[in-house]
Amino acid sequence: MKVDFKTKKAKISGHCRYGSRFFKNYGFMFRTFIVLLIAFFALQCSRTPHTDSETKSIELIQIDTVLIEQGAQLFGKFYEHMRISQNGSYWLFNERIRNQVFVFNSDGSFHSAIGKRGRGPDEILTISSFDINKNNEVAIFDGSQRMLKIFTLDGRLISSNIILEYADFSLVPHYLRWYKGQLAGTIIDLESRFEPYKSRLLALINDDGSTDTAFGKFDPFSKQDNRETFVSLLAIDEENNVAYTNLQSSPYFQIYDMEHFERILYGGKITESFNKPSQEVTPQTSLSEIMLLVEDTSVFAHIFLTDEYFIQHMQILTKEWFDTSDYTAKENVLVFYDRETNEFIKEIKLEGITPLAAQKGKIYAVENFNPDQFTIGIYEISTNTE
Amino acid sequence: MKLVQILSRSIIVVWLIFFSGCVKDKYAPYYEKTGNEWEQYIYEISDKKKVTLNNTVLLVLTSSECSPSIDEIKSWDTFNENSDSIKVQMVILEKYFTTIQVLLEYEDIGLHVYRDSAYSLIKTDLLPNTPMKVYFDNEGKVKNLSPIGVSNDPLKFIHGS
Repeated sequence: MKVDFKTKKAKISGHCRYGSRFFKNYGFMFRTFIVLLIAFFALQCSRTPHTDSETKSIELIQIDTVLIEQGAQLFGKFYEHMRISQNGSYWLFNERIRNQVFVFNSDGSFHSAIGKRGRGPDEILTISSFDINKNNEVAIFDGSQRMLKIFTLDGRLISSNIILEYADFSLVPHYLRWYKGQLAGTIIDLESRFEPYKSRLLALINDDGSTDTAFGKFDPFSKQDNRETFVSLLAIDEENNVAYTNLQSSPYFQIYDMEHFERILYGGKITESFNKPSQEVTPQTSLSEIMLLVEDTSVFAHIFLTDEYFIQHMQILTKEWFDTSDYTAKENVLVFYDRETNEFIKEIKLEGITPLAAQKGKIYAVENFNPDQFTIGIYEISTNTE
Repeated sequence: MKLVQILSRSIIVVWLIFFSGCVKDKYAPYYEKTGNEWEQYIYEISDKKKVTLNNTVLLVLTSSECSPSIDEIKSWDTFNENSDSIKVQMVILEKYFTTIQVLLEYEDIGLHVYRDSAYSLIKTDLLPNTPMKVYFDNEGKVKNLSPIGVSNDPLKFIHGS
């Protein structure tokens, strides 16, 4: 018997008589269909994103080691952040002691130091974020003064503006990125600071410091995580107008269309090395308790984009790290996803190196944190399709 | 009307006393630490040199503290230059010597520094966190302790006000 569902549907809505006949004839099938439909949508809502692929094998092959030279201006300690100019010629680091952005040539020789501690026009109180654009202009967000300062690579001030004066959100530190003449950053809405999962996620800021727009959704994983983390990492592919974000404590990532401010994907999976605290860590938890609770848990320190891969840099907070505060005591893991299919490929545990940046198929990682022998290793991502 | 004023002032005073009590309780275990325990810690981190901490203010911090802490350390540096009776020294938790050297040179700080390269302070439990300052009296007992970066007045801290 042929069933014309279109016709039947029209009759059901118009005439109950035919509706009852329909249920008599096809009720079981219809109910099953509805149940399956509801189950499908329920699964869609509750599922955690999970993609997997084992078709690619990835290796990191060291191709160079560069010693960062102490120049006329000694550096003492760098934050674990590095930005690379678009042509790869300049490497930038945020110096913790002098509160300056240090610029080096790619051979490790000193180029310049940008800013200095203070409240003057070309001075900075706290470098919360920094980034370099294709014109080699360096944007620095001074979180203490809530100012956006833009410099040339030689340290000459281009502009200095108050930022987020009337904004209803805060920028999270470290992840301000140039995007087509504007700056994009991850945010937390002020009214959602106790319920971050209700917050928007991204903002676009003009170079004069005014807010263009805020959009996106916080990672819902923050509801089930036992840490109160507000920091979402950010990486932008300017050419393809997409932004990747990753809550620091979450194994999942989001992809946003930067032209239409829409989410394209919520993806990722819990990989073997991922571990969250078994009990809740709150601001009221004492420091010693926090150290016990988060020992051997993982956080995401960076996310990187290459043409082929989206890469999460996961760090395991070992007991030795808490005992010594030695950067090298943290375990480092890279989690690779295919950018075309968004499928998980593999995670790679690193031995004795801390990745800071990626560009053009290469990972840049610290091999030695001692300021007298500060060394960056360059590793090529080698792919074999099995 | 006067009664209401007196009453509200009394409430404020009671609250202040209550909260000052809370602050003292928070650090109470660290006032119990003896001068000997501190001297042993300094002995361990300073190539086994014996030190006495009588009439000493120790500023204990990591190498990358924020601006308010640096400002306060500078005022302690000035105090130390002008003080005959109380000496001021620093303990910096830092693995690398050059990092401390850059800090002292860049910020123009002349205080004597003990480097805790293994972060052993954390294991000793002599302080709840950093940055903190500790004043040892003329008998080497912990007389006052409080966070660094809150006040830039050394005399206030020494006199416990």
